[in-house]
Amino acid sequence: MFQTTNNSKFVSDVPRNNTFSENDWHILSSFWHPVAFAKDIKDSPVSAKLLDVDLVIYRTSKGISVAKDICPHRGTKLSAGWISNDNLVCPMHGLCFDGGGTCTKIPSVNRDNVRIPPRLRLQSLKVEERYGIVFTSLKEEPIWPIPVWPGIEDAKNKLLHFPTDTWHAAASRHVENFNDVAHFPWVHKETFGGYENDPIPDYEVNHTDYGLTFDIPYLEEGNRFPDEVEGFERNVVYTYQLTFPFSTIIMISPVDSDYVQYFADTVCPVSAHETKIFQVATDTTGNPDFDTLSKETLMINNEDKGFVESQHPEDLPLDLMEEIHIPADRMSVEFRRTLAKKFGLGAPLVN
Amino acid sequence: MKRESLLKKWFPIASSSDLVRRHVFHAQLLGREFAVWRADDGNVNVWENRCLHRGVRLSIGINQGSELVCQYHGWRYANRTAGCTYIPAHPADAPARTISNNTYSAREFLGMIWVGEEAIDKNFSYQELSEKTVLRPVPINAPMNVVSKGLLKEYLDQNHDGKLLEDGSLEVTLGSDRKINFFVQPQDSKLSVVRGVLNKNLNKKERYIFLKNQNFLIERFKDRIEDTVKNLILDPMKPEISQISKDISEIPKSGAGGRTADLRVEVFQKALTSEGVVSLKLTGISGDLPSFQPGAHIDVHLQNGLIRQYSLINGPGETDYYQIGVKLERESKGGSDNIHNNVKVGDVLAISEPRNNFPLRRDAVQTIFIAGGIGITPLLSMSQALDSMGLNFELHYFVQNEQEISFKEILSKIEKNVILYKGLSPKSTMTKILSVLSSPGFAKNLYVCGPSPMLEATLKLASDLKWPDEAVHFEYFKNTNEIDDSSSFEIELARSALSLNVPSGKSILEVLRENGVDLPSSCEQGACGTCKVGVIKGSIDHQDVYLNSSEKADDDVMMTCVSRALSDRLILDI
Repeated sequence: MFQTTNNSKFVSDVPRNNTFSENDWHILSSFWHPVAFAKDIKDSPVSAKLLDVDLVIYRTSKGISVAKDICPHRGTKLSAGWISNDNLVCPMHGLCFDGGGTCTKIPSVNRDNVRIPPRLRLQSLKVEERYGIVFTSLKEEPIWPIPVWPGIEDAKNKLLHFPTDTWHAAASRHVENFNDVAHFPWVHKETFGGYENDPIPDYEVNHTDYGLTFDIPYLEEGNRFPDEVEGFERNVVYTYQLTFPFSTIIMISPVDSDYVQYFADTVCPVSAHETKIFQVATDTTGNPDFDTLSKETLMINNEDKGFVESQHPEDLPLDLMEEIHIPADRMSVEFRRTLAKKFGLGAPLVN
Repeated sequence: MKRESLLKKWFPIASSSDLVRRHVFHAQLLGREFAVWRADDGNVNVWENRCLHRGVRLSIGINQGSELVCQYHGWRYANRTAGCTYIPAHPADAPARTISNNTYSAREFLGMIWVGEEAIDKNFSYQELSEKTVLRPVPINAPMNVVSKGLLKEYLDQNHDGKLLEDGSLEVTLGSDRKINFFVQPQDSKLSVVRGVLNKNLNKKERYIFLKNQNFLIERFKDRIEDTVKNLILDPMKPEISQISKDISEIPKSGAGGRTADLRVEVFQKALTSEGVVSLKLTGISGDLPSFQPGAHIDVHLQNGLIRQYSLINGPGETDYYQIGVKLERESKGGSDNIHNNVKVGDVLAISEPRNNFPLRRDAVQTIFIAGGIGITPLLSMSQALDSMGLNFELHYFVQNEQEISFKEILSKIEKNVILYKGLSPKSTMTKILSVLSSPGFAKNLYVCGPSPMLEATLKLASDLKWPDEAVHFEYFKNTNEIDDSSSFEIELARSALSLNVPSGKSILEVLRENGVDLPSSCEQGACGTCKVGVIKGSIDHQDVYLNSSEKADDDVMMTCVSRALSDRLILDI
């Protein structure tokens, strides 16, 4: 019923119903994470959740702002409010906040030039809008850069933003699935498939400044590229670039043409077993077709979703002895190893 | 209700009727999920519902009769042992390690499948009934003990006699000769399944009325008891997820891989299968045997101290026994002679775990098997594997005469794929093989096993007909080449910084052993591939028959038992 009288809610950043281990929460909160597509932030505030923290995302003339979804006055959810005069308005007492989070007006105080206490401000977060995605970080100084995506960062190319979806699975499980080629012929039978019997060649995983990279040749069933090369199957090379912790771009290059598709996937760890997916793509034509590509993308995602949601333990085992690894799993093994070694994720709980 | 206190108890987790042919049933006991499936041979498998590779539920896998296939990456697991037999991402390699999913021993009694996570067989105290009628299982959202006590009260209130038995089950007397036993399966802390069985066969009409009445009673009870516990909040049970052993959690290195513990088997059947060939069936002294891949062989340690390799003949999923075929060699040095004349039913033999140096790819559009005489044995195992998957293959079997045809009962199962050739001269044998091999094609694979002259002639033919090396697979019984061990040279061991001199008359393997480096080996005549090591530098004098010519040309692996150096020095990757 009552909070204790010692300001306990300001003691820790860790949210009340945190589903992560406290160690993992602090580490993950120091990265940039995607929370929305910029195109979806229009003239009313939008709610989001990152690492179990409720957020409000709103647009003013200064651009897009992100803050914790709690009014400093009486704790109301600001995402239930609205935008008026370039300010976010709290629905309970009408307090107004500008794009920087500063309170600009308290309607119930019937005086001009009233001094608004400086503490009456939103807990605003760092925001970067890139590739049409709103990235934010719960920590003041993120320790890792926002992903740099070749092709997609090229202003000449039209970007496609696919409909988002939420998977009931850990973000790390999603990322491993996105970086796994060996499941293609089994899971993606109805889309680009491949042949169940084609072996996965040995490949090398290399460390980069931002994460991990590898490339691998593959024979796709069907022909999904608008490069006017005929054929019922296509030899391609997939080049993967993973930016820690949860962003990956895959560059798909059919070997018999100059065409390249750039497909990026970055996910928001909403909570430990809930993941919101943001995908952006473009290609060397500079003007990819939205209808064709989004239909295909949604089908591919749906093929994966059931499997990844079925994986258990739901948390990705960073102890390599909990699952079996074969040479095709080099990427997954390197990913797990690095998350544990470099960032200290998955550390045993301290009693 | 403590999870730990119930782990040693047996509970029913499924009805026998849930295990429909080629179906996988999802069951749960004390919070742990199981994939339950019946193989075509009737065996009931109860496995942890989690592929050890990436944790996907096996209950969404495919029951292929003798193997279960995980849908995520297509890994195949054998009936009984849950050993992995095939990894499609690496089709040319036999899984180098024993990868097994977690299995639980199961019993089928009273029309139900019984399991206890840590239960041992001798604690199983239920008797089969000669007559029975099995009730429909009813799931109830309430803890197990609440359900048992409540259900008893329900029947007592109906003026039936009833009691809770020591094992926690319920016995209800309905009349002079009718008794229902109820077993309550704790699926989770607040989810139970009531399973009942009546000690009578009923005719159709009686059965209908009986089941209707009991169903009504239990459903009414369910509504009532669920209502009384609706505000009870219990945490779901958290079964521990066990770790796998260290050696299978790492990405395997290619090359070395020694044998581990020896197995003890009992000879339970010995029969002459054709002229001069006996078939032995071996069962494990302590239960099921390790899973194997088609093409695998075992070392048999004979009573006279000799060790001999024999291919397994078994089809996929047959891990309740191993079957081998042994031909009496005219010039037997005591191996085949010992098996033919001394080994008898009831004898215990020591054997190695199955090892596969002759792996079968299951990715060919067409597979051609060519067998000569006793060379049929590994190809029988392979044929049955492809047959079970419905893949296209031909088994060409060359014998001297009708009496030399071995394992007719297995051949009859794959009859439509077998082409028999009887009594052909060597020349007309090769003419036949020429026509079989005449059209090498994309994604065709050839496997040859037989006497050396036939094998060599076939390999030469395949090479002349431009079969690619990687499509041609063969297994020699022995190396008939004259081994030249006159050279002497240095070897350097890259990982242990040891330099050794190999004098003429001694093999690399022998020199390594003298210096404390123990390498696994088997045939020691360059035929089996067990003592293969990587070569980092130096030119190799290949004298084995295991590597094919392109592997030999690559000059990066060698058989240490017979091959030597052409250069003064070899750097080995050990």
